[in-house]
Amino acid sequence: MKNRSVVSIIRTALALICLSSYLIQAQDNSGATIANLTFDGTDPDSNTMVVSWDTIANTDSVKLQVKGGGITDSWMSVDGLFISNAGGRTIANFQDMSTYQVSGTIYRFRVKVTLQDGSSTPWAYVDQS
Amino acid sequence: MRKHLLALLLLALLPLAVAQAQDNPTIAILRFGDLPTYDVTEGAILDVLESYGFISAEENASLHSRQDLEGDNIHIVFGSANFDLPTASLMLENALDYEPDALITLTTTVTQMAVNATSDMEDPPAVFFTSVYNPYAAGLAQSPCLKPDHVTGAVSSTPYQDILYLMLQHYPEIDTIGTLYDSSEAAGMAGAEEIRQIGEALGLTVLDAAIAGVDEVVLAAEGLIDRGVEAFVMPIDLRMDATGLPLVINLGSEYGIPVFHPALFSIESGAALSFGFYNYYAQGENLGRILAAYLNGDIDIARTAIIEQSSEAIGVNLDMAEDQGIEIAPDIIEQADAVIEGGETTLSERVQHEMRTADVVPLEDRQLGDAGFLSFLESQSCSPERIAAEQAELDAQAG
Repeated sequence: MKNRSVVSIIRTALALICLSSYLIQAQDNSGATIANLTFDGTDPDSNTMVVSWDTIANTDSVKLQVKGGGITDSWMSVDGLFISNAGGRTIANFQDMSTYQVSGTIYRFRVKVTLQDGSSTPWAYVDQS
Repeated sequence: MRKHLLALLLLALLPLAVAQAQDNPTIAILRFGDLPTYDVTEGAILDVLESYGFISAEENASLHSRQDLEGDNIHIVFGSANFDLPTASLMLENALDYEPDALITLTTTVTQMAVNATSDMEDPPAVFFTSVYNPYAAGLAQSPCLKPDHVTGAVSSTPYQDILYLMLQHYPEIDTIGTLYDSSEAAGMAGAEEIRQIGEALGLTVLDAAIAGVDEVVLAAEGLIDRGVEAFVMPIDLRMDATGLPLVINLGSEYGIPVFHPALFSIESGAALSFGFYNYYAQGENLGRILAAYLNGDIDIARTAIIEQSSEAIGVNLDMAEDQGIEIAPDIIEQADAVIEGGETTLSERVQHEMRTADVVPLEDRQLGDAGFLSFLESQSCSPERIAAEQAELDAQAG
């Protein structure tokens, strides 16, 4: 057991060195990434905010979070997303949250996609514009 | 004669004073045990109550020592159960004896007990929870809006999936992992189940061991090692974290088995590297905002969805890394938000900001932000459409 221990410690050391560089690369799990994430404004007809990105094949679910706007320093999950696809883009509509947005501040959004094989993209970020 | 008149006057005024005291809201702040991170979260709740004038600065200062308060504007009762279930049960009974308007519960276990104890009441107190990591697996609710009407709270997400991917990317030869949880800690049970589901979906063999007390940790962990576990992936388990995690880490160091844990401050328990949640002040502040809005009659709990917040930060324990012969790259140390070296813990500015206490923002300075936060809550509110959508999603998953 002790021989195994020495080998394992060396293995652990090497792995943690690799792990370090991995952490810096922001947890890319799947190889897939979200491209061309944009904030597309607010749709007054549906009273929703809209973000979109290039569609990723085999998307299973989408997680969207928001921070800023003067409301909170932590990332808050946005539920009740309405997801659609059109013209090679995936579009997420969600309830407009800007009624009492603090003047002079912006929201920051981030999106992560989980694929059907269980893997997921790293977070992609976009600012309200 | 004057004395008699004065006495009569005081007696006449007494019912008014009692009535005024009875009109003051009563809240109970209950937690499963004592951890520094709970102090930060509770402190943030109290800071918000001070901003809104429910307590004074002096009262806030004394409340940080968790002494009950019969204040001019609010009655606050505290409880802590030392991570003991029978004690938690008594703590809850004691709190309910005060007929509180609201229970503020920290941890999944206490929240479960509070929800169970109040769900059949005709006029239950509101239950606001925080420091809860998986309310759905723990049965507190089915989804953010499929929940008891008198319950809401703030969930802190745990990056189990990220941790397992991280592990597999750098330990691709690993095919068997182990996890331990306390069988009386709902968060640990739910976390272990999530680890099992994600791990098995990734083709891993996941072995778990339930323990009934910290004295079983070493035996259970050794049993998992004997069964071929090549890494430990630990759930957030507040009883285990407090006392059991260091034992697992020591054993992992002895056998060269890495231990992964999803909370930043697990480095203080001896993990060489950690990656996870750190927004303890923000989670308390957000719950405090919901509580203040409730006490002021500004929100309807039945329509207030359970919200989720997340954060990620890296921690490194250079002392432990040295002991284990592990070299951690300089750039990861530079990026880390919490570093332990020479027995000293250094926190980045953003994590220090999150670990603050007694940082009371004057009401006029916080009202805009709080209105924005409530606007966010409103955007997430449990409309009939949203409830129907969540039910349909659950039905689809079940079908």
